[in-house]
Amino acid sequence: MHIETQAELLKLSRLLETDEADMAFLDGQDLNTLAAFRNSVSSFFYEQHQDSYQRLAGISKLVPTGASAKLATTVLGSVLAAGIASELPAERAIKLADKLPDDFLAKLCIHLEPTYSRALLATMPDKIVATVAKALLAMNEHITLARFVAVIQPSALKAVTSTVNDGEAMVKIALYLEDKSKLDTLLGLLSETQQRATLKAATDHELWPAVLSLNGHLNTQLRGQMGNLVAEQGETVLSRIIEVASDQQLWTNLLQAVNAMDNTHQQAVVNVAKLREEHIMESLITTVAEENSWDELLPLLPLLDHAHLTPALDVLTERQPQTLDQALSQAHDSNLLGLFGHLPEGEEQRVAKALKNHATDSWQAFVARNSDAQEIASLKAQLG
Amino acid sequence: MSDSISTLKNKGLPADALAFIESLPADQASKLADTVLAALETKDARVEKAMNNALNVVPGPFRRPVKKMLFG
Repeated sequence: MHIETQAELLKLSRLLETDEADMAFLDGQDLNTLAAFRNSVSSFFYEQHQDSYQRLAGISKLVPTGASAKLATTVLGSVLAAGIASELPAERAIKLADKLPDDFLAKLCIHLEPTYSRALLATMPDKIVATVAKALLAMNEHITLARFVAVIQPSALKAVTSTVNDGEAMVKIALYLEDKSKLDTLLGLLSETQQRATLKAATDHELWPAVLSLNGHLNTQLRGQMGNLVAEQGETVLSRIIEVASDQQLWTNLLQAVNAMDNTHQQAVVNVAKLREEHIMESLITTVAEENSWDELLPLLPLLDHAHLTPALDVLTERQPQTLDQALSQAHDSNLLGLFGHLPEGEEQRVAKALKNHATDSWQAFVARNSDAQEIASLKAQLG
Repeated sequence: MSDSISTLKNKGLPADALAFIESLPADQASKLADTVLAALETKDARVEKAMNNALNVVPGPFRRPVKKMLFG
């Protein structure tokens, strides 16, 4: 199961108070549809008791905040208190939050309905947010924390991230974020030490599927920054990442990361021995063809040494020659010229043969578009 | 339509959530609706219990009118 589907089904199973495995039959459904369903059901659950929450909130406003806080902890409990808090004016709710014990406040936050508590969380002072976040972190409440991250003020987010040193928690919070466009902000606030901690956690806790998947949501600069740190992890870790990309069809994400790295790191990653394995290379080309990510793969092929380029060409010219036709039709010409211009002399013949047998029309069209290109002069000569 | 789907519809489950459930194959739709309904009942019971706990601090003779006033 794709890691982001797994995360979505975990959130749904939590809302429905059932085992994660009970929701596995929803694997394959569109992620956005699943998230919309979950949000809709969550609001529906809340609205069943909203009248009562509003009435209790009305009474709470008549009582001094100290007494309200005492009532909340001793009589109402965190479930009711969460509902009431969402119906209080933000100013009153903040005064109340300031008087509640940290652990009670953290439990209350777990029960907040995301849509109805959004405004409240967005106005919470940094100090309270940071204190609650610390308590939630200790409770491994990564899903609740991800909800926090999505709505709190940038200054509060900075206060929260500065205290998180647990790499595993950081990866999980990022994975459970509803709006992945917030990832850039979140990751940008982490120090290099914290960023390294996330990568160490990925290795220690088998979180590479999450890290690779999340990488696809980052901007190019952060992707490069993280990519360079990944490349420094060494051959064993890089081999494991390649296996994960192969198992979870996360090749496009990995290729994007490699493209964003600096050249030295790119050379190191694309020439890891693991990549030479037949089934790995086949999986790479298959995914690239399925996802049409030729423009991510092609610029990297000229960086492969001969020992790595040969198995790549084995797949492109012999095992899946139809993919050459697809690449010629869909990739940018400059990327194709880069590959054709770097073919070792001994390989040109079999590439020419595959082009002739499986991609005649697209090759002719490509040649017509690039008639002056020196990179294909030799191939053109071989093809007559 | 399964009993659970009908019950959820009667309780006001939003149309988009109902549409998603009904778009699934019958056995899956029924399973998901059963799970949503069971969760609703669990949450109802939890809120009810919390409300009763809250009402317990109200002196006996006033409990019923206060409950009616607060929770309808």
